[in-house]
Amino acid sequence: MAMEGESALRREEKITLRLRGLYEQYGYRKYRMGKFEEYELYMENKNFLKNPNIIAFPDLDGHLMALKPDVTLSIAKNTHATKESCEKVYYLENVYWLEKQSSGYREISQLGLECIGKLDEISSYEVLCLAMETLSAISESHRMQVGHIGFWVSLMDGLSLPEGVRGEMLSCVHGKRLHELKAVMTKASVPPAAIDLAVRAAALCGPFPQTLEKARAIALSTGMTDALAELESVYALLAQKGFSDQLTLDFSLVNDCDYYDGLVFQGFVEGVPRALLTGGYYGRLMRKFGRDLDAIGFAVYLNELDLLFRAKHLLDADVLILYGRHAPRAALIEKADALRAQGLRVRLETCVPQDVRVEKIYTFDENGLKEAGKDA
Amino acid sequence: MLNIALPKGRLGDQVLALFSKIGYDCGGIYENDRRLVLESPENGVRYLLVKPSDVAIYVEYGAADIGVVGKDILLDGSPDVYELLDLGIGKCRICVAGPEDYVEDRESVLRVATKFTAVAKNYYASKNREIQIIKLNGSIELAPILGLTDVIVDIVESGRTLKENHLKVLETIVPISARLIANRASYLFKNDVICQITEKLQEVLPK
Repeated sequence: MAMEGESALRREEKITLRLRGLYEQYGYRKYRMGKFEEYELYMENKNFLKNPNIIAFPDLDGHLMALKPDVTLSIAKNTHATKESCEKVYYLENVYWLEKQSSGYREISQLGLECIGKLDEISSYEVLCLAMETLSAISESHRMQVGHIGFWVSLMDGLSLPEGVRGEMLSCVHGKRLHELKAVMTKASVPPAAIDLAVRAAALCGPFPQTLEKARAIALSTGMTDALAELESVYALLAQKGFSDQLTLDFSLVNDCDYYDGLVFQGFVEGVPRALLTGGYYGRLMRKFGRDLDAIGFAVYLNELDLLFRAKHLLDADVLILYGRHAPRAALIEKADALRAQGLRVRLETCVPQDVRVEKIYTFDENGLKEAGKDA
Repeated sequence: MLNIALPKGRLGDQVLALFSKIGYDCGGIYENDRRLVLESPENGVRYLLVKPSDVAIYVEYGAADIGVVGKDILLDGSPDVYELLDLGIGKCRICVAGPEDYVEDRESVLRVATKFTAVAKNYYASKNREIQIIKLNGSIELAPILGLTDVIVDIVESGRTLKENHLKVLETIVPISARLIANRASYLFKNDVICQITEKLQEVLPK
């Protein structure tokens, strides 16, 4: 019998279906890619990847190929976007990562979208808006953390730092290790006033209006004020849409400056201990590919939803009917179909299968259906 | 309820005293018993007493919202957590130590016994020195005595254990102290209470 409507889908699948519809409403087209990509692409952009360990293998003609650990790099490299014509795509693909704790590779289902071309505040707003809608489709209790890489790039440009110190500083900022940020900058002979400014910037975190206000007090360069202006204008549009309570402005949110250069964001839902959505502007990556284009996008790690919904689909079926050797076959099938028509998941067996969880167990014989363990 | 992971043992006792000082005591029920969970509903906190090397894992994976852990554990495991404060307690250092009469042979691969494999690897990589790491989980000092390795990379507090085993500190890699860490998601969803604890702790720490 064919499954009816959405009821047969798991919650993750329902969410994915809903989000695909939503992305298409904003004019995003589905992007499908192959399972493999040239290994070189990932090696040249190792730092862009969340995890640099890649499964590689030689192709028949000797080319080293990789099972894709990421989707954005392929889309960015192959984009048809130009300054005049923006490309808007979404994808649902499997990627392969080495997992830190288990020391093994995992297949991860990733849903995401990319907007590449000549972008403005409307493009940023739309992508952030879709990211917010994505989180709210997953859980009512969600938060989006937003930061700006341009703010930090401009702050550090003004300090004439020795080689390597920028990376160390950003690593401290990312971990909110303010005590170590101070030590790293002191060691690099940065003037105390500038250290104080950077430490204050790294500590900025809270609701948008108040945090923007505090940030303005320490924004000394044009790059920093431009970043704040961009955050402010995108926030105004998101607040108008009713998202302000779920948004946190956090200047400690920084990614790799070699690739990202503007707004960056991370989405969390209550019950999942890590960000399940990450995104941002990656214009620098585009320029690495020799394309003078802007780009913004995000990815959702659908495997994290397993943590959230684990307790909610513990049952494999609602009803298990145990039928005896002499049970009338036609009546049994009729009974099972009647229960299925009520929307229940019904499994027919002659004995209780191992490792199968059901809500109710019935027996069926020539006297009809009755709950197991209860006499008629 | 805020879940706080603490390392079992002396450091954990010190931290419990510190939390009690800022108004988050565990309800006066902690008497060095074998319980792993101490709960104080009136203060809205639950303390989880876990193996020191596991504190960061509990926090990173969200079983605890915040925790207190030695910097040595953070350096070696690189968990993706916020490190909000240096508590300045449990001070020690990670050092390279070797026999009292040790002279380095620069022509051979240096054999290093340690449980801090990542710290040792990064340290010697920064010095461009080829090493072979032998991972041990305890009694590291035995390794150079028995000729298993040339040196060890380990925590040194007073240096007494080294001295008793005729070893000496050759280099200090990094100073260590206890850190207050937080899970990234908890920091957003329980921001008020985590910030309050951080601020109060900062006030009672020696300046």
